[in-house]
Amino acid sequence: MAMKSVYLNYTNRAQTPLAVWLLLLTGALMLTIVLMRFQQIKAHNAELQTKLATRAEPVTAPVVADNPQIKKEAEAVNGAIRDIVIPWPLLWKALEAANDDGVQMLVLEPNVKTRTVRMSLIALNHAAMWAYLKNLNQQSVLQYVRLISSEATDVNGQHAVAFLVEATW
Amino acid sequence: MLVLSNAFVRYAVLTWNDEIKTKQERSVYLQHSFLQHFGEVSKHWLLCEHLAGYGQASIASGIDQVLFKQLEAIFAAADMPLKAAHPLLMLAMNQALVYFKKSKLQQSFWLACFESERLALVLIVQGEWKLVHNVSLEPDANLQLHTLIQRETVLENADESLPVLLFADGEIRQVDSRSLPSMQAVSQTESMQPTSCFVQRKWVA
Repeated sequence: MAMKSVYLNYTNRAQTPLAVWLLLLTGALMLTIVLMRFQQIKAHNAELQTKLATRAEPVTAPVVADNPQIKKEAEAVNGAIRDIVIPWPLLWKALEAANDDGVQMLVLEPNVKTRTVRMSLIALNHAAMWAYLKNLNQQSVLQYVRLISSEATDVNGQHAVAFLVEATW
Repeated sequence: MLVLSNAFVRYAVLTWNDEIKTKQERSVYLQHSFLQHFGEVSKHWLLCEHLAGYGQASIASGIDQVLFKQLEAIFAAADMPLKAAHPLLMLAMNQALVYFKKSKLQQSFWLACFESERLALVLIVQGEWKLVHNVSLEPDANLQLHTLIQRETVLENADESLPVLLFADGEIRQVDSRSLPSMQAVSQTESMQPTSCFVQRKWVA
């Protein structure tokens, strides 16, 4: 076992050894460096976040060329993009929340351009229809819920009401 | 720096104690150890300890408080700051450690620190303090050292072939314990440094 140097001193028995001060100084220096580096990284991160926010642009449809074939393909791509853009999860969630046992949905037609959704539904009676419209109105995703038309009809010999509703998301 | 002769200093090896946790307990243990070694007189001493590694015995020294206060007063009167006051054995031991480090030898040895009227003998086994004796020098220093080493080898169950380091005149020499050189006291009182309290001894080949 290596033996360390002996230190016996009567004058400064309570004095802290130089090595301890050096260690403390080194620690303080390292802490300062780490803090400075942390600040630098923080500032750089904020800068990158700003750049990222600036670069974030809405998804746009590709430019369509004059070639009919390309135009057709571009339209197909645009359609696909629109489908992606439609907030399906939110819409479905809202429609499920507004669901009523007395109402059945027949058709659902979302329109990206006008940001509207058109629904063909059938209800057992008018009361069920009004209740459904009220439920739709209460969904935060849907705005301007409008009853476009309603028509008395017959389903398997039973009285029913077919109606058309449009809402904006 | 003031170097105190072993004539003014008393030493004790303090065994490791697991029960001691705080500085206060350490201080009490130090005082108690000196009381056991040197009696009531040690209550008036200024004690100083060098802590070794965990689980190892440590070395401690003590000097008379009145003497030290007088020394401080002398230094203050001379407008000299007394920054350090070390016992001679500390310097001898540190030189011995340097010697062993250079020689790359195992740290088990005897260290004999000679002064004109004092002999301090230390036994280090595998880097740990085993014993320290600080005795008056007899007329036949060679015989005294030989006898002391022989006796302590038996008492401490130490290895008989341990090297012996002699410290005198500020120098370290390694010798064979069976052929110790003869000593001749050469009082150097006249040539002493102003801050040095010890009287040195020279070797005669």
